[in-house]
Amino acid sequence: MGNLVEIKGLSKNYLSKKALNNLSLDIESGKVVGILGPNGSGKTTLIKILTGLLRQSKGEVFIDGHNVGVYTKSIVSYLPDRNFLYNWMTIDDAFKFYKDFYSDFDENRGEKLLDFMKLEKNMKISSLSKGMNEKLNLTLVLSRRAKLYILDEPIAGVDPVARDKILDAIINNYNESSSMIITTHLVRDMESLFDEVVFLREGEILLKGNAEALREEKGKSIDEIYKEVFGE
Amino acid sequence: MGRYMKYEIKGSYKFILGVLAIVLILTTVFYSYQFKQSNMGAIGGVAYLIMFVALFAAFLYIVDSFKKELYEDRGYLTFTLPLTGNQILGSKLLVALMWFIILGVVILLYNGFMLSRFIEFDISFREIFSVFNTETVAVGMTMFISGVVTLILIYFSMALGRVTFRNKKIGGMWFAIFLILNGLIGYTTLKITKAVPYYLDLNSFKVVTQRAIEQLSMLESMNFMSINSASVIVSAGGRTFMNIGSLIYTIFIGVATFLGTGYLIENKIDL
Amino acid sequence: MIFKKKVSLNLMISMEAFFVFSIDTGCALVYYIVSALTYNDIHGGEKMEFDDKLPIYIQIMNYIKKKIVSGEINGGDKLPSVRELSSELKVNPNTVQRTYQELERENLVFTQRGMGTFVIEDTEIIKNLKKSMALDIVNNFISEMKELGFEYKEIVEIILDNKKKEE
Repeated sequence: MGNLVEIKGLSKNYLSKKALNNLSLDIESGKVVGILGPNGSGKTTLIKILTGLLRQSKGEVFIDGHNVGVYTKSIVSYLPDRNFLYNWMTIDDAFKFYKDFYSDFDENRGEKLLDFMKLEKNMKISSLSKGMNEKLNLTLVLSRRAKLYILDEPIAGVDPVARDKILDAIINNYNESSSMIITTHLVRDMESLFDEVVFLREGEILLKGNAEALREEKGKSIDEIYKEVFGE
Repeated sequence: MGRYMKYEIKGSYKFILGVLAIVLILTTVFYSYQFKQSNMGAIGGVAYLIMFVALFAAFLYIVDSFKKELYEDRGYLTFTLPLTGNQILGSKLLVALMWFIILGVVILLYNGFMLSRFIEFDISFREIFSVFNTETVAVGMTMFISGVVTLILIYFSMALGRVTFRNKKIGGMWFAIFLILNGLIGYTTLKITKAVPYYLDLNSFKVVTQRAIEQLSMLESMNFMSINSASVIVSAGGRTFMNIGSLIYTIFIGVATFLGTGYLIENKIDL
Repeated sequence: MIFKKKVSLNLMISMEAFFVFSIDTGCALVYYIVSALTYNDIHGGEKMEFDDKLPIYIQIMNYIKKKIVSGEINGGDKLPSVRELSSELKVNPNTVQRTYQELERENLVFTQRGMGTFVIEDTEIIKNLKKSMALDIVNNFISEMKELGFEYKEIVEIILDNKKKEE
């Protein structure tokens, strides 16, 4: 089980600030990694660089041994924190779209998940509520048999019932040959999912390690460690 | 790339067909009204106006499709697809051109059809086709090339605007950039025309120098020069000439800006 | 005549007793069977709340141990698969994997490749587990009571009082 993702000395500079500062991180296959931190800590910047929406100022990123590009985009399944589907589409259109562009899209799994989320193919994207959109996006993202799943705030802004469904779907999707990166600030709800956690502040890694080991070492939950690390 | 074109079409066909339907209805209404008034003079003008407005509306819509990728959430989907920047751009360009051609041809044919309803045409097909000699075809082609390059230039301006001005709210900058670039290119095209004073005689396809044309123009009275984005065309002595330098330069600009835009959206875009 | 009456009365009483007894036993039997069927594994029943201070795998281990000791899970029973349990408890499958591994290390379960993880049948071990878990609870109880200032004698009195109240 080698490293699926290798990040070396990653920096992203803007005029007014450094979003990421010399960040290095390795992620093995089969691991679920939680990237935790307050808003502005660099979580989303890191994610966008991994998915190719942003370019780093310095440093290297390797996903499955490749630089970020067309190949990595074909093995990375990304869930952004916004509604990114074209709003003229129906759910059926979105399915066909994913099937067309991603050879790793599993239509059967997708349909099962869609059922589980209580959505139907003839619904129009523009008529879905926020929670339904989130569920749909997650359905599409998890139905791909990708090597790396990147979920950016998957349960933020979603009601508790939908939240449970989403967490269920994430857990059931786990498999040893893929990895997952999940960013969230809702630590308590998600902490039992993580193998490893990374605490980010102002573009730097404050703390990282195996979740259970950290619990043992500190005698605290990850949520409490988060409060301790980021608290006033 | 064909896959992406499919979805580009799916996303825009409703609007295009809507525009087309409105135009056809308006045209029909207009023609029947005009016929009653038997004021034939206005027909050409208004029909042309309708066509122009339709194409302009379609143009804005299609161009906006690219802008949406750069400034709205859907970019998160488009730019994480396993496609190169050039593939995405090429798809959008081809679909845009396809719609323009379809719109233009349909409207033209319909106008012709409408005219034939109301006017007795003695003109046979042969006569219609005789209009299409090498000259008109060449001129038509340069106008087409000019349109394509303009469109690419707009895309480029948008991409450049997005890259340089990180603030999403300044979405209108592309127009200013476009005007500046267009002006620059027009200016440099003229310079090249002067520097490469070789013209193609569109009838005989011989290469001719500027001198020769100047001499010709002194003989006849009907001379004109037309400059569009694609080339400089001069008509003198009943013959038409096209500046070779400007044509090559325009095509070069088109290709360069296309690749430039592709490069920008693949490597420089920060969404 | 009186003798016959007496006999028939006795008969009726004993028949009544018999019916009541059999119904009682029947109910008990039904209850036992039903619970045996439904609580054969960890599915159903209470939802597990995580006290996040402890590593989760330890909490799951305790959860399973409790069920073994209380008889909800019997020796020889098959535990849910890693995937099933992680889905039910909403935790990372690796955590469940670790739980099973640790339980195996403590000789409480064994894993058969391709078949699953099973509770050991050795009643001795289970008895010992029951004892050690009880001991933990009792020790905790006693130390807490001592912190409140109680002496052993008082503690025993309280326990006996409690017992009387329940009966």
